[in-house]
Amino acid sequence: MQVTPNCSLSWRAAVIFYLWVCTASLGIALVFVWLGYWPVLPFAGLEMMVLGVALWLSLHRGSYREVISIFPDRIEVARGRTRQRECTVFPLHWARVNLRPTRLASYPSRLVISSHGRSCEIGRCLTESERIGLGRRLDELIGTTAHTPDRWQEVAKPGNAHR
Amino acid sequence: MSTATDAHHDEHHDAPSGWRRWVFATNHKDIGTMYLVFALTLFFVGGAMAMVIRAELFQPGLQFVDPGFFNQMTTMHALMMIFGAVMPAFVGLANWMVPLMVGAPDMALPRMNNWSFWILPVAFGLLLSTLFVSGGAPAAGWTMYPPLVLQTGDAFPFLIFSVHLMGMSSIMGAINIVVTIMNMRAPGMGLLKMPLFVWTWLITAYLLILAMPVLAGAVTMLLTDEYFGTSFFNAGGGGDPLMFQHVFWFFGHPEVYIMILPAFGIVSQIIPTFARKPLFGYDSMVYATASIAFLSFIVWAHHMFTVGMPLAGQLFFMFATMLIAVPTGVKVFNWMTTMWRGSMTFETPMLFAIGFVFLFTIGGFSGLMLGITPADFQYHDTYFVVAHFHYVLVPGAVFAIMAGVYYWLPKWTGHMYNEKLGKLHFWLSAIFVNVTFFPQHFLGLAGMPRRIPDYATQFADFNMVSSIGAFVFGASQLLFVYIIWSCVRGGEKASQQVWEGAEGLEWTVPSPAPHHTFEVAPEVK
Repeated sequence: MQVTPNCSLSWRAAVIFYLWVCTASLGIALVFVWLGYWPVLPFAGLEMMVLGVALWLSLHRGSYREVISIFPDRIEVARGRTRQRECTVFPLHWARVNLRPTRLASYPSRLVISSHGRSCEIGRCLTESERIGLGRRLDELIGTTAHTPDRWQEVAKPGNAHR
Repeated sequence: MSTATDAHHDEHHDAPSGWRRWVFATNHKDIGTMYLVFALTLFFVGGAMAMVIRAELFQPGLQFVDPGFFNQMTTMHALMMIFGAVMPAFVGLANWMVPLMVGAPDMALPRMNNWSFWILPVAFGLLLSTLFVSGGAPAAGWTMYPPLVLQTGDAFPFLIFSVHLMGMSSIMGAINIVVTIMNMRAPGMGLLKMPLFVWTWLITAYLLILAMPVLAGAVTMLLTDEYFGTSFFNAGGGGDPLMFQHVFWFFGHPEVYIMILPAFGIVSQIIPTFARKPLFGYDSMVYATASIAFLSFIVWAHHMFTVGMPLAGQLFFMFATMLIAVPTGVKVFNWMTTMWRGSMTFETPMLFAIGFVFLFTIGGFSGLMLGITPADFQYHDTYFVVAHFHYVLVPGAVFAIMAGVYYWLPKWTGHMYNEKLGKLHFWLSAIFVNVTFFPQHFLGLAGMPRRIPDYATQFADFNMVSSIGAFVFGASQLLFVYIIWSCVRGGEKASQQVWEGAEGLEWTVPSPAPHHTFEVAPEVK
């Protein structure tokens, strides 16, 4: 199962867009340099740097991935951006999936896998309904909630106690 | 599993309350509200300066202020209104509405958004403080032409620094808007499915990114000429003061469109809603906006026809200027065609939108008159120019902002505003904006120069009418504040849809819009 945030711009499109803006902005600045008004150039360069950083940050956040793999004996949660940075392993039969409600109604809930005192939050980039769906699906696969099928709807309501 | 929202709302999971909510705000709605309140405040500060100007011009002779202070008022009024009222108001509307319209949970860079806003009060605090320094506030006009501006007293470095800060704020805001629109659109929302307001802001942000470094460079060169012995614009050292005008207007003319393109976007949202018809010629509206933006970069010298330009240059800039009338005409035609045979109703936002179309067109036509080089020699630096740009900026940009505020106020507050008072506000504004600025066309054509505290007696009557119009227009804006205030405090509950004919993602969320908007991912088909 792979969890990814929404991103409406591809890296390739972002690079093309950035180069286009740089060409226009630095082109104007270079004309002024040619006329002897060089102080325009550092401002244009600085601005393009900020735009580049802003685009990179936004796309970098969008390249976040969580890969949740379920094996007969364990669950592996691998996470990272361009490559896997962190992998947490839980023994399948001891792992529990919990949706922790929030203190305030308008804040997102937290979906957590835990076992033996360790826990790992997943699906932070999902919407509320998708997080509930993911939790329910994991619960089915792990088999901890076969006896309490409605608990996801219950837990999802803000203010409900953590089970 | 791919989803429709980004992870950005973890930026404010532990959102503070009380004053910390505003100082450390990262939520686009809070920051949008702060921008709008700031813009309204500066609208009244700049408006008070306009009242000083009109009081002095009520009669010939010097009655209330000395000429030096009069020049400070004209300069500060312009800077306050352009950089403190109109631009922040549009940025506030963008902050509030762009994420809602593209289906994003927030702006792409919420912390930078907070910085963009909080730089502004510092910048305007600095600028206003110059009223109390030795030599008074800047008095060389908002265009800051050398060598006159170099005669400013201690206020000069404050002026340059505050302009730099305003520019930084604008650039950071523009970059945030560009990245949000490019990268955070809901699944299915292609570029040509975006609402017109989003499109116009994307193009405006692009204009800001291209134009602002030029202004920053220009004012930095002024600073180095004054304090570091350079001679960029100092004829005595081999520089050319005229080149400042070229550099300034290369920024300044796109700046004019920065202040009007988002207004086009707002009106393009409102007219289809109250005509209950889709916008006529959506694609042509987008292309017209882009064409206007492009043309805005190649017409700067029409502000300088009288400086002694070669004939070929004058002809080029004249024809390029007149060319802008074509895409602008396309837009006006499309708005009219959208209204044609529509099931129109005339709620306050629609009244302001129609007022915008009608009165902005008058400003556009007087602009065409000014664009004709030989005619411009007659009108240059007269009250005709003052009338022209005030028609573009007051019943143009300001009316569009007011239309937008009335249109989205129920979505922001969850309450309906008082419709009767809203209509009264419109009619007072529409009548007295014309009483204020229409006579200024005649004053200009008769030869009254701009930026003077005293004038010949033949201009007395029209000046008196203009001043009366300005006082009533100014006073009627207090009604606007009362309407907003009472709507924030309570009133009839607004539904999710608010307006019967409204379409777009912002109308699919409850009123008021929740703190975190798109917890359920929107889908655009």
